[in-house]
Amino acid sequence: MSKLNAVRMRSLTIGLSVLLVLVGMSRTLSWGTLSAFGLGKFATVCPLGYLETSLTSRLCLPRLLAPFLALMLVTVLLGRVFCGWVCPVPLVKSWLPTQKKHGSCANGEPKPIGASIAEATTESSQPARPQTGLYVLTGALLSSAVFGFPVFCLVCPIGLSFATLFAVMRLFRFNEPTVALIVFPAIVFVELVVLRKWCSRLCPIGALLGLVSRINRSLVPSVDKQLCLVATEGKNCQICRNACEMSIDLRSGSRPNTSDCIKCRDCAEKCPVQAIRFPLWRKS
Amino acid sequence: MADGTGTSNNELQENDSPQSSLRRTFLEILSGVGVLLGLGALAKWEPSIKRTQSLVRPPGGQSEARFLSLCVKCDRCQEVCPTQVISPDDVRDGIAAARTPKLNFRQGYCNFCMKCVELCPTNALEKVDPKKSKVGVALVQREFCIPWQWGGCTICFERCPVKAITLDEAKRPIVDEIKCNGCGLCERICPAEELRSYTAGQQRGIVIVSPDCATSSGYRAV
Repeated sequence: MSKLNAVRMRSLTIGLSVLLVLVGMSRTLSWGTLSAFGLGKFATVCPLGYLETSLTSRLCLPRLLAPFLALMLVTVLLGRVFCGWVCPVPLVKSWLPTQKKHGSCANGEPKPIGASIAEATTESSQPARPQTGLYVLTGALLSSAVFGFPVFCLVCPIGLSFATLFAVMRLFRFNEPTVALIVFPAIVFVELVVLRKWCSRLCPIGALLGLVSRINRSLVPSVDKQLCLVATEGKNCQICRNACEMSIDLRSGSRPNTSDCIKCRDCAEKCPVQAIRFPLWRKS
Repeated sequence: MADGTGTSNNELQENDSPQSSLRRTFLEILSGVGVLLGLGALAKWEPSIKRTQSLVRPPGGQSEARFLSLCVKCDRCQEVCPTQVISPDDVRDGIAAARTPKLNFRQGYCNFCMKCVELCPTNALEKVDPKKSKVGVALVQREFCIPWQWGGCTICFERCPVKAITLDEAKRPIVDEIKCNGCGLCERICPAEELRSYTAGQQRGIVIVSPDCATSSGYRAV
């Protein structure tokens, strides 16, 4: 796995999921989008969509319960792989201008600052978990229950990305220009560029998956303390922390919240001493 | 919510006193929940909500409140429609209805094949008997209809699949609103827009309106 570039593989899987949607747009297939994807009568709905529509309609939607549970099970077993390997948002984000992360290792070089390992430890001795995603999730569910329709769908960057794609195709196919061609990308731009930390702080789907992935014990990133520069040489290396989309700090001395990990492997690939592994099972 | 400094979460929190971190949490809750609640309120109460009552929905989606509560905008119905009459709502049709499917009779007509109903994952389009399903009512717009203004055109009468249109003694079309199931073939083929383009512009001589609209406005073709 270390020889294969995870970024390229992720682009492949994400590109494949987008391709499946595009191919599925033909009349004979009608597979749908990530909002709801399936074959014929059997479809799975976005887990947040499932919860919202169950609330709004006060129905159980039994046909969708099994796919919902299956998705949750996948997340328990593999963690938030949807975020890292299927969701198009990280890919779209990488195309948009986003502020570079600051830090003493912006150039990728670990610099000794004269800080000892003690300072590195105190810095991260109170890892506070960004909970805003959970609040957005609560807000989405509450708002849907109160107002009677799935509210988050209005601004979901996944839905709006596909909607923009569809609108462009309709523009060429049916000569149908709509204001959606401006409004939808604008909303996605605001969410991903202006608000920036979408995946780690705001996305309610990610927050939902994150709740379930707390049980996840496989493929959890862990640092080999005998290699990590913080532990062995006392350097204030922050490469893995700065590389992490989810702002997880794996370095020695911290208690990282690995339930947020989207398994993108950016940390492992950027680590100068290859100290990060993704073992099949985490020994606690 | 917005992290202005670009530092990771750990660095932020370490500088907080307990009060400011409590305030931060409170602000985060407020913004997270508040924004979503505001969005829901805006969509529910914006003035164009009345317009969504007039949108013609695919078969099985006639109960607008139920339909909006279940539609997740997956576009599967649009993809499968063989006559391509299903189109996404424009943003201007209302925020809550944006991207939900409506019938656009400029592009096609509904043949009640029910493929959209079959595919709908959340059952926003309910299973209905295609023979009994009524997606809308055809209304003759006499100001634009050619025979009502001059005479000669009888194409909607000739082509109506359920024979809901009859001609009166002056050969002008009259819609039987009970028989009409809103399939929209009449609107699709009405030539008034093209033949009268010097005056009529965007109007056709016969249009489909949703069943709610037809009864509430008291509009009668005769």
